[in-house]
Amino acid sequence: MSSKNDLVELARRAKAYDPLAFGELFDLYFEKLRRYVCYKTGDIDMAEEIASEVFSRALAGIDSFDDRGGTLGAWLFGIARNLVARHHESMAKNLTVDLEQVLSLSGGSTPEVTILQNESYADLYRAIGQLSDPHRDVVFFRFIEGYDVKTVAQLMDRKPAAVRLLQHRAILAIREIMTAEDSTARGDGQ
Amino acid sequence: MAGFKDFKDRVKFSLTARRVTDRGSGGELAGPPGDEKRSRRDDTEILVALGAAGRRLRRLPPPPDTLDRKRALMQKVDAARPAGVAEVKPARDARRMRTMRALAVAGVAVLIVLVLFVAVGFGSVNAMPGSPLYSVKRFTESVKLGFTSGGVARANAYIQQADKRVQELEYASQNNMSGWYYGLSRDALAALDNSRQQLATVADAQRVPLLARAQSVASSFASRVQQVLPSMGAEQQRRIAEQKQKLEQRLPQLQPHPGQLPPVQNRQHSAPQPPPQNQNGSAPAPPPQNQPGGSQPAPPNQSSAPAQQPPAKQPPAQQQPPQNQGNQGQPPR
Repeated sequence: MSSKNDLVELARRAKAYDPLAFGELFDLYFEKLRRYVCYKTGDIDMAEEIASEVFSRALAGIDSFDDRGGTLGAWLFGIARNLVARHHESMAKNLTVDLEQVLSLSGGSTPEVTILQNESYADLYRAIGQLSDPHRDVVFFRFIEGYDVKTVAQLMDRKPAAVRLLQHRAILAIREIMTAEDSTARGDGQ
Repeated sequence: MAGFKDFKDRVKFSLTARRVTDRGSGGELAGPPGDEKRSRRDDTEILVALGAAGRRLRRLPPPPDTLDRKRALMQKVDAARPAGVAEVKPARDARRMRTMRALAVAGVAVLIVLVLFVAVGFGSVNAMPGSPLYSVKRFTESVKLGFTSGGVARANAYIQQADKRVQELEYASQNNMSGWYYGLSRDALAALDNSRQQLATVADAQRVPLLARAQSVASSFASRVQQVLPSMGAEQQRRIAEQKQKLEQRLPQLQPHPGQLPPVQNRQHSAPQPPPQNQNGSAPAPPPQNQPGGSQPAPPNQSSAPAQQPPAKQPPAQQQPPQNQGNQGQPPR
């Protein structure tokens, strides 16, 4: 279920309210959506709820979905993005702290190592948390999910060149944020 | 603290942070020479750290109720399906159904075309001039002729064609369809001439009965064309008369070659002998024109008269004995 034709066929069946097609969609995208929401909200329980809600919204709006070939994933991620934005508005949570907490859940190392790891990654997580939405998305799709530029362009509804530029700026932004935070910390320490 | 050391060696992320911090603390973002190289290395380490974070995020424990959520979604989809929307079959079945449907439609279309073709073909067999199917009849004739091979079969087909034209000419004359006279006459003559050409390639034994039929058709044609000829234009009359005359001259030339019959001397010698001997002696010769059983004898007609004229021109000395004259009507030389 990776080729473009298969996705088009899946979309066609989904538009015809085929439960099996929605089952396949769920298998394909639920985990990805959950990770995405978790990455954006830092709340693993909320991520499951929102990922499920994405499919409910997709079912409600499947009639208005215009399949232009392989954009089903982009459509679902778009719904997830909107739901996350609404969630942020209502909750106004601090992403960075929660993200660290989430990653600590997925460790698999000893608690001691996990604590040290989290301390080492703390700068990075905080930096990611301060990125703008498009920068955060491109970081997620490119580095967390490991998609290629073309796929990310499809998911973000942008051109591949724009995705490359966005990725470059996101890395620059992370570096600048980390630099600024470190200099602030040194200033405070001194 | 062994775990701490391993982690430091593996990821080296805090080193990255320190480098970034060191550069930032100087307050010089551009940095001294070599700083650009270091920043590229910092970027690489950031990317490595992001990759590591991604790997960790992908190891999130799966929610325990994933299957329940999926089942609930599928039930919701089933319940949400509008009344008008039919249940979708899997892609393979749908594709197979489409293929089967296309094949069925194609088969039915081919069948319909075949039935129409056959029906029109049969319907056109007796079509007469002026009928909408007449052109179909002519086309079918030419197609049949195209598939006919062999001198005898082709000669036979041409004679049948000529016979049909003569019948059509009769029909046209009965219905005062003067516009058809010339075309039908011309086609009848052309068919007879073609049959003559084919007969020239056929062995004598097979030629004689066919020639008799051709002469019969020619005589019928001659009688019909005499009725309709005055209705044609002068030029058309001239052409038809000319072709008819040529045909009347050429057809009799196809009579079995006299050289193939037993020599005159032998026949003269065998004249006193009883008839069975004579028949044995003339075995290689083809059967006489009007003799073969079942073949239609040429009716006595003015137009076929030329076919019987040559014997009249034979010298009296070479006339056949009386017992053979009645047999053939064409005395051998």
